[in-house]
Amino acid sequence: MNIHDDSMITVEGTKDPSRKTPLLKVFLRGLWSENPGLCQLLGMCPLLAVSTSAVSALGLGLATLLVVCLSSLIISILRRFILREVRIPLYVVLIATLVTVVRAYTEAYYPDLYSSLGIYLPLIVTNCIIMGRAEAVAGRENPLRSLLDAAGTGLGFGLVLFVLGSIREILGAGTWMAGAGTVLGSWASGLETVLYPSDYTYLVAILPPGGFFVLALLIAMKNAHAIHARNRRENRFRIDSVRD
Amino acid sequence: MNIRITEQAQKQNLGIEPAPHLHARMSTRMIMLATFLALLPASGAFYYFTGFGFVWQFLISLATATVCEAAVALLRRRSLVASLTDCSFPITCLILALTLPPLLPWYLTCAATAFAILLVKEAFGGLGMNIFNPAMAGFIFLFVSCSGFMFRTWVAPQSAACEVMTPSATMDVIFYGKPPLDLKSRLEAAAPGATPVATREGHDADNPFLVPEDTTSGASESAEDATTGATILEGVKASRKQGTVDLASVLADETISPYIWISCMFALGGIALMILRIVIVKMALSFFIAIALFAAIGHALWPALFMPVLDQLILGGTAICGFFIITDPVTNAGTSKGRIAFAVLCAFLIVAIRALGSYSDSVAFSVLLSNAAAPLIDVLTHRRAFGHGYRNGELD
Repeated sequence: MNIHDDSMITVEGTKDPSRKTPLLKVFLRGLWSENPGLCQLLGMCPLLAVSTSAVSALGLGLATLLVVCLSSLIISILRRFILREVRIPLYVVLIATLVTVVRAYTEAYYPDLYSSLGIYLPLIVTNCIIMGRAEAVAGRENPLRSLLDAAGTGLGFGLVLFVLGSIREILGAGTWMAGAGTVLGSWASGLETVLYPSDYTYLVAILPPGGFFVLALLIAMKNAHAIHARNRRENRFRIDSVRD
Repeated sequence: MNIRITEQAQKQNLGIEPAPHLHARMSTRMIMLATFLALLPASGAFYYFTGFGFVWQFLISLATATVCEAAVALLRRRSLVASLTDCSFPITCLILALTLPPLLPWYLTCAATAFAILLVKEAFGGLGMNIFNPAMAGFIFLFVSCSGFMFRTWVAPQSAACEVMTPSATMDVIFYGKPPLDLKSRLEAAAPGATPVATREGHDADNPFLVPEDTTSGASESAEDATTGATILEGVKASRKQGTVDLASVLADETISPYIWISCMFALGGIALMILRIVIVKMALSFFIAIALFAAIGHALWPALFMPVLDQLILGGTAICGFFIITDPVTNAGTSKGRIAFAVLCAFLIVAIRALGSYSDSVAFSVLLSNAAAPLIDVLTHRRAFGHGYRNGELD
């Protein structure tokens, strides 16, 4: 790296084909260690707005997963033909096309889900997870790796969305998967469960502050898991006799 | 191995404190103990005017808070004894018990306390680190979650209520889910100037331990909520919607005396704390003056929206707020001028939200909003450091 020339800083790196991340790790990275909902904190707007019930969270999670997989695959196939200078507009056009298709499909086959998701279904196009995957991985890697990475990321986001929606619905309404029969189809009506009567629910969990509270607790649990080993090591050095 | 620890961790792990080692007469524990004792006169008044339910609420809250504090101390690997004897969480519990309805079901009190201690206090770092007042946040948690329960279980203070609200009668309502309305109607019947209409058929007003079985259906209860379950300020809000703040319809002359007594007891405790220099005098003073001023202006300009000055000062949580809540040293502003600004802001919000907000009592919301503004107030009222910030062309 040439740092003496003030006008231009060039960075030189070497490509080492033997040090490529294994495929399984590419998939698991998005699912856990670089989870978009808990670590990258991308796509917060739909994450907090739609997770008021488990069913709508599941619906948006599946739609996002579909869009991110397809867009990553197509961008990765076309990456040789996409000019670097105009890549962002091209990505946006591709993603918007896919979102339009998914939206039309949902409107046709799952009208209840479509109406419960509202504006957040077309807004997948502005979800920064999809653009982030396109920019970070799909524009550089081969289609298989891009697809695996996108699937891991989409699944990770969908899982966080579903867990958040489930916790908020259970705390705030005392039910789980309520409305699954009408939204997802008659096969899902067996999933609807009423856990306890509404006397014991806390409405604040469904209100916007509850979304922040539950998401913060999920992130805290993820972080606690991540630094568990370090904490144990550091706690060995604590002097018990003088602690307050 | 490279171990870096923060200054805070150094203090905690190694017991290091930097010089100068001045001896403080007032430790945190003493301050907390004094505040707790100063709340006792008001607690006595509360027991006399609302009955034993308040004591149950305090005990439930205290038990929950002790469990939460112990769990956090274990997780943080702090000394269990030190965490449980710092005397700060009993104050949170007492303020919660004073603000929550006396007949609230026990699990809701547990939830509010756990929220206050775990999320609002300990998640920010524990004693001295919390941004928001834990008791007020716990109150809002319940108020937003289940305001119907709050109004249904609220008891209007009246003299000698402790004779009807005995420990066993309130325990039936709080722990075993007996409908609170029966007990409340018995209380109304026992009032000195009560009309015999209040004793409805099926209710034995003479025997406070007999609770009729046939009134347990929820529908009849919720139907009566609108008239009998609401707090005074809720009644004021309802009459405001009809175009006037008609206090006479919700508040007769003889029913206001308990509120005056309770406010005076809070003032008594507050003045004791002022003498001990725990409560900052100018903060409490500016709070009450600001409330009176804003209420007077509001009432003069829009008498249909704003309550009169005296009612603003007596009803709701104004007294406990002015003496015990905004003066919490952790969550108010850090500078001398900033504290006055904080008190005035809180007073303005209380008066404004009472007149214009959709919730009837606004103390908790105002306190939390002011707490959120406290860091900004600190920055805006920052004192000039010596030798800095003089006029242009001179020392700078």
